[in-house]
Amino acid sequence: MKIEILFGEVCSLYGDHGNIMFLEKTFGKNNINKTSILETPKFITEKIDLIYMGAMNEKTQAQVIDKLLPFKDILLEKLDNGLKALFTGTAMDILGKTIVEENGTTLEGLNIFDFETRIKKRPRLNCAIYGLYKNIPIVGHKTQFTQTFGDNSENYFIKVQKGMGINKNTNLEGFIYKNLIATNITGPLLIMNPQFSENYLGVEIPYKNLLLAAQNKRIKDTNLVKDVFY
Amino acid sequence: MKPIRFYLAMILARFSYIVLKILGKNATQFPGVIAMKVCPNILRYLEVSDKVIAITGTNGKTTTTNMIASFLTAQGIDLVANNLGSNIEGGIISALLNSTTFFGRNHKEMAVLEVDERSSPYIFPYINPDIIVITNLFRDSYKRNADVEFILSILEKSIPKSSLLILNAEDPLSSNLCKDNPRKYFSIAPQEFEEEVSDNIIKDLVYCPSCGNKLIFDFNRYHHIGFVHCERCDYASPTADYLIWKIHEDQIIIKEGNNYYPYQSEASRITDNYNKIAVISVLREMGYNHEDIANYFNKIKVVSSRYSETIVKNKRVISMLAKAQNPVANSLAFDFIRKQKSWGSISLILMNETYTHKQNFNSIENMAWIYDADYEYLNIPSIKKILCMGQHNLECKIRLLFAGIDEDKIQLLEPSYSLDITTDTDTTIIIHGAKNIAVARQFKDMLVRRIKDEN
Ligand SMILES: [Zn+2]
Repeated sequence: MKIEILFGEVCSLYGDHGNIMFLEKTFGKNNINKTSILETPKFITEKIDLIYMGAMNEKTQAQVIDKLLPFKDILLEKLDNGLKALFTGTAMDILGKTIVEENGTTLEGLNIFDFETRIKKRPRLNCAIYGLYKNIPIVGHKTQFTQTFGDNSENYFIKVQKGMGINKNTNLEGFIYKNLIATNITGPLLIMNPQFSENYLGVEIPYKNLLLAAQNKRIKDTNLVKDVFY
Repeated sequence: MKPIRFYLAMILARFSYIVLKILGKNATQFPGVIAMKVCPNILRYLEVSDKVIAITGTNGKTTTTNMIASFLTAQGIDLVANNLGSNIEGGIISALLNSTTFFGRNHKEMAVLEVDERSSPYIFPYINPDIIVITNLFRDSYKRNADVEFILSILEKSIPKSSLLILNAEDPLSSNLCKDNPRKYFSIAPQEFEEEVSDNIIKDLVYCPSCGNKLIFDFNRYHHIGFVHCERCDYASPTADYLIWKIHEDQIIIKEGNNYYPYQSEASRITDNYNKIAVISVLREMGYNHEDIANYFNKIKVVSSRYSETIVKNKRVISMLAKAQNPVANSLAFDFIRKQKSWGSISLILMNETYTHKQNFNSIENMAWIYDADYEYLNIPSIKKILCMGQHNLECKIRLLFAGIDEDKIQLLEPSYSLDITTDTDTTIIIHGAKNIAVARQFKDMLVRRIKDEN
């Protein structure tokens, strides 16, 4: 499996590095390409099986959209041909139609999904997440200024039991298109969710039993706290 | 004319202050919170001192504030300071309640206030500091601080135009703030035998703040701190007005202009030296001379809750503070440990969570930050044992495994008020967060006693 980490030097704000470490450990460093925001992504011209992008700030979102927009058709074609793509945290937002700031300033997204992301700086939204992807448990955290609005009833990533979906009025989190998964869940998603990682990546994963035990502990804790928002 | 709400707030806040004091409780936050509840814009009505010094930034605020306040107090200045670390609105208001009369009139000569960078918009416009120190800016708690761009934008908007800024010349993030403000820079020159640290997992600034090209580090001290220049535009780290020119075993030499001034100094961590030079810069700008500043700090030993070391029967027991949720503080602690040559074999107790010693089900802690911290630095032969204490000790263990650390070295400890471990290594280090200071100190004392009692 050939993997490309997109813009890790600026798209790794909230512990997303954990995912990169996990991929390096699972597939070997030789199979991981790290592309900086100043470079042209390799998946456009080379055979890449998985692209990964993590959380970034608003300024970087604009840069990333500028960078990827010219290659949107190529990206869609690759996705139709089976390319895996995992976008975590605010990386999800760039795949929608628009990102709207509090003062109304609007940033046009890649428009791969039909949703709008709205920024509100206070209060910041922080919550733990527990939900199901198919029948696989997913735990994690959200830490963001945004809520996203759009219909994901047919293509959501997980049904949330604790926490929130793409906005506070829904329990449906994230978007899926073929092998593209986009979710506002941040941090080391692949480490915290071993069954998901195995299922999505289609390989044996390292430290599986420990990862499962840690995940079970989180699921238990999530059910013990009164409020997963903090 | 002040509104009735203001006087009501004053009555309740002062009453709560007295009650807390009688109960022997800490009154550095609550009275201010009460006052704010009753009169949300109370800061507008509280007169501040003629001279206000504010200290903000990610790391080093508390120590810097305490050193400045302690020097000025020793000069006979009647000042108010929030030196117990309550640095958000409630804490600032509590401090100002102590420096004003019932009618809100100030009766202190000076205020020295540590201000949380996230709270600055609600504080700076009202206290209008004469001097603002910004120690540095790094990513911090994801929950509160989001990312550095967010903090930069907050500071840019909330810093009053007239404040003199004392800035870290080696931090290309904070040193570019508020370009129209008067400013002075401090810095530490690269030392002859100093090793660069350029292998941190995170760097909060990679590209030129002016043109976006990749920044070139001429000397990278840690993370994005160091001396940089850009090859595309003329951007470069500013020249320091106050420089630690040389660091010797027991002395540092400060360079200001073309003059050199010796200060006594114990061998210390680099962060201690940044705090020192920031303090000296402020005091120099206030007109104190180097001799007086040096005399004071030579005499007084700054008490630190950050680092405590005891040697008993040739064994070393250390407690070190590294803020939880703060990857840079932890990476600095790990880097400090890996650089020690005389500590022999090491056991490490990691208290990485906000509360490690008691079960806490009030909220679920996001531990993702440990993937931004350089646990890889702990993968050295001298570290024989790493004990992870806390509710999420398993997650800590997993992080250590991803850092390549041998599973046999890692042990799990449940949250506890006692520390039941053997002290068979030359050095035992407890790394703890700000909420675990008391319990870590207790653990350290326990270990020291145990070693004393051993035959
Ligand atoms: Zn430049």
